[in-house]
Amino acid sequence: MPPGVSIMLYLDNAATTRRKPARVYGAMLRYALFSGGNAGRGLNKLSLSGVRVIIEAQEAAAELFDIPTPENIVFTQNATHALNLAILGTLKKGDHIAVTEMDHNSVLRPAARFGSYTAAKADKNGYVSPLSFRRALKSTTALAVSTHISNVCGTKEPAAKLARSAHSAGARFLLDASQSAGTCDISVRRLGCDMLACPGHKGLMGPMGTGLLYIKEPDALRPVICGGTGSESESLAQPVTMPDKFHSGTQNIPAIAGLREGIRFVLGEGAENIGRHERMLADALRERLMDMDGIKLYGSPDTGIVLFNIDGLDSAETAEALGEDIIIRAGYHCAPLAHRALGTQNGGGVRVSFGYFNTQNDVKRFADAVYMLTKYTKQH
Amino acid sequence: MLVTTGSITTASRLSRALARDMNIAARVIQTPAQIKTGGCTYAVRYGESYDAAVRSIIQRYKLPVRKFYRERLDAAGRVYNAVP
Repeated sequence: MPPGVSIMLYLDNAATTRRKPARVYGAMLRYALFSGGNAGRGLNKLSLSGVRVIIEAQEAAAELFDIPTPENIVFTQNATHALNLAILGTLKKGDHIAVTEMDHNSVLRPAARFGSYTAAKADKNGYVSPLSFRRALKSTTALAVSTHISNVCGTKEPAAKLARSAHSAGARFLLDASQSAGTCDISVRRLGCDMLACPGHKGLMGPMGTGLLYIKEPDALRPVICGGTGSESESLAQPVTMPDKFHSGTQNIPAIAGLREGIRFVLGEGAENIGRHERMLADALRERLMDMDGIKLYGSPDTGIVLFNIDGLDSAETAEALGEDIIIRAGYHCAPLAHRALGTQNGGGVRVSFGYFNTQNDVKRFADAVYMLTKYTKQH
Repeated sequence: MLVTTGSITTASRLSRALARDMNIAARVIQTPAQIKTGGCTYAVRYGESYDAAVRSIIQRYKLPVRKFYRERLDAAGRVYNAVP
C-alpha cells in the first residue's frame, strides 16, 4: 500500500449498512435498465413488472417478520417516514401518545409536535422496564411506541411485554425496528405489534431511500399523503385497498427491487445469524476496551452496537482524533433523551456499530487505534 | 369468469397466487367498460371450471375483491352477468 493511504474502516452500520450484497445492486440496475415501468399505471408489461417488484418485496418482508398479510406492508422513504405515517395517521385531537426515553427523534419529534406525550423512563443502561412503560400510559393513550434496539447504545427493549402493557391500556403498539430488522428474529405476531416500522437500508441491506411500515389494521390508520394510486381514479376519495391507500405517487421501484434482494439475502443468511456475528464482534471490542484505562462503556451487551467515551475527551474529539478513515458516529445520535438516561447528555458518546461484513480484524484495528489514543491522551 | 378488484396490486397478487399455488393461468385485465364503475379498476379473468379454486385462493389470502361476473359472447359482443 502506498504511504499515506489507508483502508477505510466502516463501523457505522447503525446509520446505514454501507456495503450491500451484490444482488442488491444487480436488481436495481436490472430494473432501471430493462424495465423502468411505473407500477400500477396501466396494464403494460413494464408497469406490471413494477407491481411484481412491490408484491415480491412485500412477500419477502412478510416472511422475515412473520406477517400474515403481506399486502399490509407499505414502502416508505425511510424509517422516519414510516414512523411519521404511523404516528400522525393514528393520533386525533385529544389523543395521548406514550414513547420511551430511548426513542429516536423520528418518534420524539412527531410525538412532541402533537403535544400530549409521555416518555417512559429508561434505566442507566437504557432499559425500559414494563413497569416504567405502564406508568407512561394513560386512559387517552391511542398509541404507544418503543424502539426495539436503541440506536445509541444497542440495548434491546422487552418489546413483547411493552406491547402487552399498551394493549392492556387500550392503546395500539408501534415497534421501531430500525436497529433490529435484519439482525434478530422478529415475529409481529409473537411480539404483538400493531405496526412495525423500519428502514430498508440498514439491517435489511437495501438501498438508501427505502423503508417500510406494517399495519395490522389499515382501516384504523389515516394516510398522511394522498394522491394518484393508479386505482379508483374516478373517485376523489383516497382508495382503501392496500397498499394503494398509502402508496400515492410514483414508488421508488428500482430501490424497492434492491430492498427485495436485501431481504432475501437476510432470509438466506438468517437474521439471528447476522445478529450473532455482530454481537460477537461487539463483545470482542468491549473486552478490549474494558482492558484499557480511561474508557467508559454504556448500555447492555445485547447487540452489535458499542457506545463509549474516553476520559477527558469529548465524543467529537475522540472521533476526530481517530482519523477520517475510521467511520464511526459521535454525538447525540438524534436521541437526546437516551443520552440523558445514559448520563452522556454532556458531550454525547462514541458509537461503534458492526455489520455483517465486518471482521475480527476490524475489531483489532479499531481497538488498537483507541488504545493509542488513550495513551496519547494520558501523556498530553 | 371475471373478478373485479380495487387495485392492480390485488389483481396481480391473485393472479400470482393462482399460478403459484394452483397452477391456474389467470390474466389481469382492465375492468371492461360494461361493468366499470369509473376509471382505473382491474379484474382477473379465469376459466369457469376454476371458479371454486379461485374463490378458495381469495379466501386463503383474504384478498379484497369486489364482484364476480360470468362472461359470455353473444351477437352484440361480450355480456357480463354478476354472480354471487
